[in-house]
Amino acid sequence: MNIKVNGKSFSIEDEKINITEFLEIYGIKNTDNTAVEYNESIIKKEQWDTVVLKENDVLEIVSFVGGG
Amino acid sequence: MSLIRNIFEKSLTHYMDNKILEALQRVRVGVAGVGGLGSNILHCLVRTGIINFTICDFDKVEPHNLNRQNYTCDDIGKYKVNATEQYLKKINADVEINTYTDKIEENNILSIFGNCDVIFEAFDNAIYKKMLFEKFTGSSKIVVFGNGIAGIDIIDKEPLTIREIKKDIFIVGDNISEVSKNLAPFASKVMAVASLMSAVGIEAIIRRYKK
Repeated sequence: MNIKVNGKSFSIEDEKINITEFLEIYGIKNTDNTAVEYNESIIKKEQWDTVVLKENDVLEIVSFVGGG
Repeated sequence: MSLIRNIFEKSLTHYMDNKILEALQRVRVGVAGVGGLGSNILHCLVRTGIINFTICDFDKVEPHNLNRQNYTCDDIGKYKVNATEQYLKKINADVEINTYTDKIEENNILSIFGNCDVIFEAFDNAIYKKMLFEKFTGSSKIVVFGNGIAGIDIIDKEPLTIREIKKDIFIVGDNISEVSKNLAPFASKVMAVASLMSAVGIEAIIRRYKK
């Protein structure tokens, strides 16, 4: 399955994978500070388990770090 | 027509087309947090010609802020939003600034920044950065986030980048340098990110609002 992540193509072997599982593969460690936009809609952390990725999905993943 | 009410606003006409100044004067800009990023972003925006602001921060100026935030010893103990307002009015006496000393949360963020056309995210805390992202990236606002500003070293480190993740939503910073006990923030890098954020926001405003 091919999806787009932060503007780049990304191949996944598993056919059934939700956002939480994808973030682990993608190497996101601090999920509390991470925001996810899925096909142009914000998906909050509580819903990540319920969204199963499919071909051509578009993800924007932003991990924020403190300091301002 | 652009507003020319004082010598500062008159001086801006030496540098920019009237239509650009008009675009900058048309928008209301929100700045969420007036620490290292926010205080430096604000004087950059005022010097470029923006005149309508909403600023929010619950903090007062402390001595340890002075290494990077746009305050002086005279400001210690004042609310940051009040010290900032005084400073900005020394540049342009006719700027209009709505100041809030509330702690921003899910339940008040819309009432504070809902009427802004542009928002600069300049919070300290990553959880609040994320909250603002989740609240406003689906809106029609121009939003500029600061992300990754810590450290004194910059050569051969993760580069400062500007990423437009979707139309008019920008992330600026090195994206990894979190302020911590081992990695302090310094004026040099914090102001670099603040300047880049200002530049990005100003260009996005002109792109959208210039007639």
